[in-house]
Amino acid sequence: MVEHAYLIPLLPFLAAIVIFFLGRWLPIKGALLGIVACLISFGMSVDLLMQVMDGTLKLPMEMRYPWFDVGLFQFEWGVLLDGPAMVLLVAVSGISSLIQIYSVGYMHDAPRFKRFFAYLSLFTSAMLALVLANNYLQFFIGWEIMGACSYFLISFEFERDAAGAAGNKAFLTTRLGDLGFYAGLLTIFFVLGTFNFTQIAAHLHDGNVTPHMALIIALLLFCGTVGKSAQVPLHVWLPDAMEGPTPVSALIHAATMVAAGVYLVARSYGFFLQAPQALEVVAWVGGITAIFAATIAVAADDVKKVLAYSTISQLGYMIMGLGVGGYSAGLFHLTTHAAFKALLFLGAGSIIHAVHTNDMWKMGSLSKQLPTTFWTFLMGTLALVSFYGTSGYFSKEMILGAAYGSHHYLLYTIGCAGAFLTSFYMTRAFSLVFLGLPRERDRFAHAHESPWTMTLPLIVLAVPSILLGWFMHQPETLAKFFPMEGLHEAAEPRWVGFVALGSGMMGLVVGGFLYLRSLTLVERLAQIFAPVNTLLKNKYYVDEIYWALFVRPTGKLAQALSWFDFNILDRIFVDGFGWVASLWSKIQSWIDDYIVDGAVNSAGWSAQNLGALARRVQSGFVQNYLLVITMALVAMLMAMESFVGKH
Amino acid sequence: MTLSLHHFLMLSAILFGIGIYGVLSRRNILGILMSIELMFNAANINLIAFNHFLYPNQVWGQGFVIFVMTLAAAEAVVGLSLVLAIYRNIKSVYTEKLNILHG
Amino acid sequence: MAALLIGLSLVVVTSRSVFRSAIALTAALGVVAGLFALLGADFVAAGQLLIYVGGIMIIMLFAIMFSHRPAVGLDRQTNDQWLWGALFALAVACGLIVQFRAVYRGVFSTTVSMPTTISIGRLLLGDMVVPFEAISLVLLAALVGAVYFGMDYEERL
Repeated sequence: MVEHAYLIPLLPFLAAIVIFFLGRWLPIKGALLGIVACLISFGMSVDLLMQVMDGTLKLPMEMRYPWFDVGLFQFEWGVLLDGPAMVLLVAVSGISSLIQIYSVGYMHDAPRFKRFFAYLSLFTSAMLALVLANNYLQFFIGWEIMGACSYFLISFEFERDAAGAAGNKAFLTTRLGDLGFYAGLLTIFFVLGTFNFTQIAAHLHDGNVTPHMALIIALLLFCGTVGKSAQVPLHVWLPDAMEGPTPVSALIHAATMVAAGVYLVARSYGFFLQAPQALEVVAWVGGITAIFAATIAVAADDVKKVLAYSTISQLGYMIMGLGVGGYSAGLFHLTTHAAFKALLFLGAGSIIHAVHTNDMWKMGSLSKQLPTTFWTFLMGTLALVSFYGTSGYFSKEMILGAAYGSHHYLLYTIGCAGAFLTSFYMTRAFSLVFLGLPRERDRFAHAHESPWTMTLPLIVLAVPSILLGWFMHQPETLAKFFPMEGLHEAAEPRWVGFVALGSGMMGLVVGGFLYLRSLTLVERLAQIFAPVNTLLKNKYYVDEIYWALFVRPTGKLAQALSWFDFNILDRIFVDGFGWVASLWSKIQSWIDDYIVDGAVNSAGWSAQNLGALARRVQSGFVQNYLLVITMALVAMLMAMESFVGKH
Repeated sequence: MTLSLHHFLMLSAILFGIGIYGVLSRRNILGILMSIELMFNAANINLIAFNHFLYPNQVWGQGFVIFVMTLAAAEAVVGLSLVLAIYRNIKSVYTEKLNILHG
Repeated sequence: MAALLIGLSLVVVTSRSVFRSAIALTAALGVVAGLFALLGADFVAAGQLLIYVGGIMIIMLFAIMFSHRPAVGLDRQTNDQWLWGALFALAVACGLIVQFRAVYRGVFSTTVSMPTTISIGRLLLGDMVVPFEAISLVLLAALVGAVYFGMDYEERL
């Protein structure tokens, strides 16, 4: 069975193509095919997982399929199955299937329905190919395809300018990160001559890579992560990406694509280990991102934006975890986050579907109207705030513990503060949406629960959100799935975990008090802290700064270049050629008129004149004729006589 | 001086030339006819002279001259009647008016 | 006499007035008759006077009278190719003269003139009878033709 592992990404890919071209005639416009393909992949992944669990399958396992040769180098497709890959396979295929089921309900009256599913399947296949990749080239291909799909899916409702702009922004911003990534790939190839992970690991083990080189490579690769996983400063695309349909947000921006950046760091961990300064950079970027985004989430009024910033923040946690040496911690959080964030986004979709607005201030007391959504959303929230016992608790604990254990005390503190804020804003959001009093009567009255296609995935996702932690947090399990040599996870004192937990709970309490009990207090606080409020509401003006610093000058440069092209280059080359051509044609026409026509005309003229000349013979004048005749006669006689006379 | 044959022949030649000039260059058709008569006479002088100088015992030359004169008379008559016909048509006797063949 | 003849003939061909040409021609023909007589052809000379002077010239004079129009009396009477005609005539004359002179330079007459009428009569009806008869036919034809052309257009048809 494992030999067919390549089918896992291949099936959704084929499904995507079929849906795109033939979707019109398939049941539910191709959605069924997509779901089926995804479920098959999921089944295969689970099967593989089972095999690993009972020891039938030994990891790591690699299969290689040569692709093409350039000189001495051979490029290949390949499958590399190891711990992280296994886990992510199951997570991605499972979540993708659920989201496709959800989309049948959510997008049921959308135009271009089949194209949506085609893109979803394509995206899933790209992510799976990336997860399974055994070399950087395949990884990068999957990465880029996902970037393109993200563009398509975010701007799916491109009739709205905002959606199109958001798609552009996402694509361009991640592209910026991809530049660094690409440079890193080139460097790797240049130094080591191969893209294959196993071979690279061998090189690193043998010490063929200098620390200097490793640092450069690591930082370049991290650029890709900063873009794809929306770290500061390239985080700006993710909130805007909320313009896309909610299933898109769930799949791409919660569970999968943004996780790819973290996965990249994990796969390249060898380089990072050889360059400790790179790890520092990674940790700090992650930490800053975590707290930065959390502060903005506090002031967000749009439920999806809250979740978006939350995602950025949690990604920061994962990155930070990897940066402080918590390889397994970071990947563990990645897995749990995939589950509960997808759940939260899908729940948000359900809410929006019910009340037709994203603004939390227009909602309220929806627990009465949307019970299933309410309970599942609660599960997700508990996981996110790392309430004791949820999977989120275990994973975030590990990260903070790793931070403390590796003597990154400041980062630990930042992480705890972030946990406080996380609980705070989630409680805030939860209260505003589900609890309290309904703020708009009409909306409240019309709100109804979503169809089973939407609520089923919610329920299914709620399970791992809570329970996954129990299964995976044992060190042996973790070691089986996320092994890393050369890492020592220091044991941290007990109180570290409690402090972390405590800060989270505090946030819960404060948030609940403020938003549940006394909204007037909230307003008063908002007025007191007005400048801070404005700053947060405007996301620290990062977008505006970028616009002024980068976007506008680029636009002006583009305009200048276009002016140059238009007025100067076009004048010289295009118009110039045109002018030369017209000049040449003028010359030719002159030639034609005077020389060619002159020849023709002179032929006619000469014919006329010769004729006139010849006509003079016909004078009609008899004496003329007579003269000529007699002259001729005399001449002939004389000629005859001279002949005859000689004899 | 004693006249020799060639004197007479010269005379007739000159006469003949004058006649040719007249035929080719006179505008009046009657003038042309008169020039033709001149030419006839020149030829006659020739004949008589030859007869007299070269063959004094015979009269063939003179007989020939009689025929020539007769024919000249006939031709003059026909020519004159043609002139009259032309005159009736174009009311003129000048040759430049007779240029219907002009090309 | 020769000079007179030449002069007269020049007048014939160059005179502006067609009348003057006719008179000059008559005179020239008379001089030619004299020449004939000088050359011992008395019958021919007489015939010349009768036929030419008496017959043809009279007819010509009639024709000239008939077709004369006062208005165009005194234009020039040479056409446009007179120069060519003159040159040609000159060439012919000179050629002939040169030839004659070369061939017949010193031929003189030796006999004495006597009346020739009887000989001519004998000749005409003897050796030259065929041309004699033919000429009468020609005269007939000429007569008929002249009468025909003289008729009015309607009469002709």
